Amino acid sequence: MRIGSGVRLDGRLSGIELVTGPGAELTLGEGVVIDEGVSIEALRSVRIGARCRLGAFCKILDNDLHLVEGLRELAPGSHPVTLEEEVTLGPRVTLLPGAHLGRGTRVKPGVVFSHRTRAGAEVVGHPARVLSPA
Amino acid sequence: MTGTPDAKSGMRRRALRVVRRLPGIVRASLLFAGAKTGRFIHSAGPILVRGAAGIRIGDQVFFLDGPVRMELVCRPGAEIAVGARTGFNYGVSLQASRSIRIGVDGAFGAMVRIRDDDGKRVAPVLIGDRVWIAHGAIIEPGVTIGDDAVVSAGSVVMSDVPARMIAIGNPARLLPGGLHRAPKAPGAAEV
Repeated sequence: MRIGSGVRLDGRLSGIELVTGPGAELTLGEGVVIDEGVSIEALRSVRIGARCRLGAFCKILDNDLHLVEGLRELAPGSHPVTLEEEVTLGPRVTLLPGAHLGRGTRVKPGVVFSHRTRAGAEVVGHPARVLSPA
Repeated sequence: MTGTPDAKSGMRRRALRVVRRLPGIVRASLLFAGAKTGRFIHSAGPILVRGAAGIRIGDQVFFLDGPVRMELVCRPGAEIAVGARTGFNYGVSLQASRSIRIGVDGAFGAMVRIRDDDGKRVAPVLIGDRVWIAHGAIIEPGVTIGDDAVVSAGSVVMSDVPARMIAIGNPARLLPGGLHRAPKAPGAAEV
């Protein structure tokens, strides 16, 4: 786990959970702001770029932890999650394995997302839609 | 001396696991005092329990710990029933005014909310066996979820989900079950 300078974790209302599995990496860039109740679980790699803001009760996972088909106790493979610089997540956003948000992407509240966005995109709704890719 | 070194270390591991789970089993028996509980219920952290008289929990049900406390609220005359070996991640909220019934071998992600009373109507919620409800999903009153169904993360389920289907979205739409998400290679197509 690597945490950059000036990172702010605001856990006043509810705890924040940062989990790394064996051999996994979790990187928080410079000046990242994380609100209460956020949970980040890295079983392989989660990278949060500099000056990202994560809203309350966001969840970031790089592994689904259970198989949809077959033995539910088994975990599938991990897919790294990357947030480039200055990404903003609204409250209750869930990022699933494989999500890659381009620089300056804004993700609206309640979105569940597992794809790639270009720089400056906006993501809304569930199922998610990408608006205004720059 | 009996058994190979491997068998012995396996026995030691199993014994250690039982010892490690003991505090959780004792904690759960205190938290669910007054409820009808099966054997070896395990709780890793605090749980808010209201109206224990209407709560039934099956064998080996387990509750994980995390930043948010699990809550079970069972109003007078209502029932909450949880089948054997169902597991709950942290922050799950079950609120029953009449009836919430959950089958066996279920898996509940963190921050899942289930209620059978939205202030306007009261309708029982029924969840089948081996159902997986992923992180942050919300189940509304009157919903029935069939066996082996999956509710994806963050979904809001307002209508019934048949057996083996996958519910996705807000409001939730249905996909046929057994659908695998395609693995994403680096540099996969942008959307």
